Amino acid sequence: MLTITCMIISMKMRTMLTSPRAYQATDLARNHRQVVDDARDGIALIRDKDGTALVMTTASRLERAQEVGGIAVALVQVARALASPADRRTPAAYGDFAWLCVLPEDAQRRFLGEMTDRLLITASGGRVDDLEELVEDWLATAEAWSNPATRDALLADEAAPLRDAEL
Amino acid sequence: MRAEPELMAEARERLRRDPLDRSDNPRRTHRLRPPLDRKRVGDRILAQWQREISAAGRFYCPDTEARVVWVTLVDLGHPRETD
Repeated sequence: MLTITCMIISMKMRTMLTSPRAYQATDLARNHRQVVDDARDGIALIRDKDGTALVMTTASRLERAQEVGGIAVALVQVARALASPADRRTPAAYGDFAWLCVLPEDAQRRFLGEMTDRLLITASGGRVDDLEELVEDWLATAEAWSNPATRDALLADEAAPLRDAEL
Repeated sequence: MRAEPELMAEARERLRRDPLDRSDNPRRTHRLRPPLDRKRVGDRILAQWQREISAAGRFYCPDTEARVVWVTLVDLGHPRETD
């Protein structure tokens, strides 16, 4: 929980500090190339006439920030759910990761640990796709686990596999 | 499986050729996480993967040392309690 909170604060600080120069709205016409170049390099801060701060950046950077921020908040919710007694938790307590409730307690805690680690990597410049891939892996696991027949089959040892079976 | 022979043949070929590659469709190939992440096959403990095919799933354990892919379960569709 503390790690996630620290990360959110650190990201907010980083966002605030990566805007070295503020432009006026009129600069969009006068110095549009410089504004656009700053936006491509990071963030271009534009002050409107009434003082409202506007931000121009790349779509991919915005997408990453939204994805990372959204998952960070969702993980805080999972951490809160795990901090409460297991017999009092409802699927809704897990928020966006409600499907997690079908997994055993130790798997849920491992999910939180792995996702937090991957989120930190993504926030520091790693691929968003890797984060989504991990969510998909856990979701597939939860789906398989929720079906007793599938679960039992996947947990069972295969003592003598059929080497030449054609499926 | 009999209703979708081409899909199944394609999946078989895909697992035979690139069992660990997810690049063609990342949302269809998953490495399972605990407690389903590993499975004993013979005398080896192997990672367990899933390849989604239509509404069904094919579970498999790639043995990278022996270069063998063990298909451990073909599931024709499971209840979506997690949806």
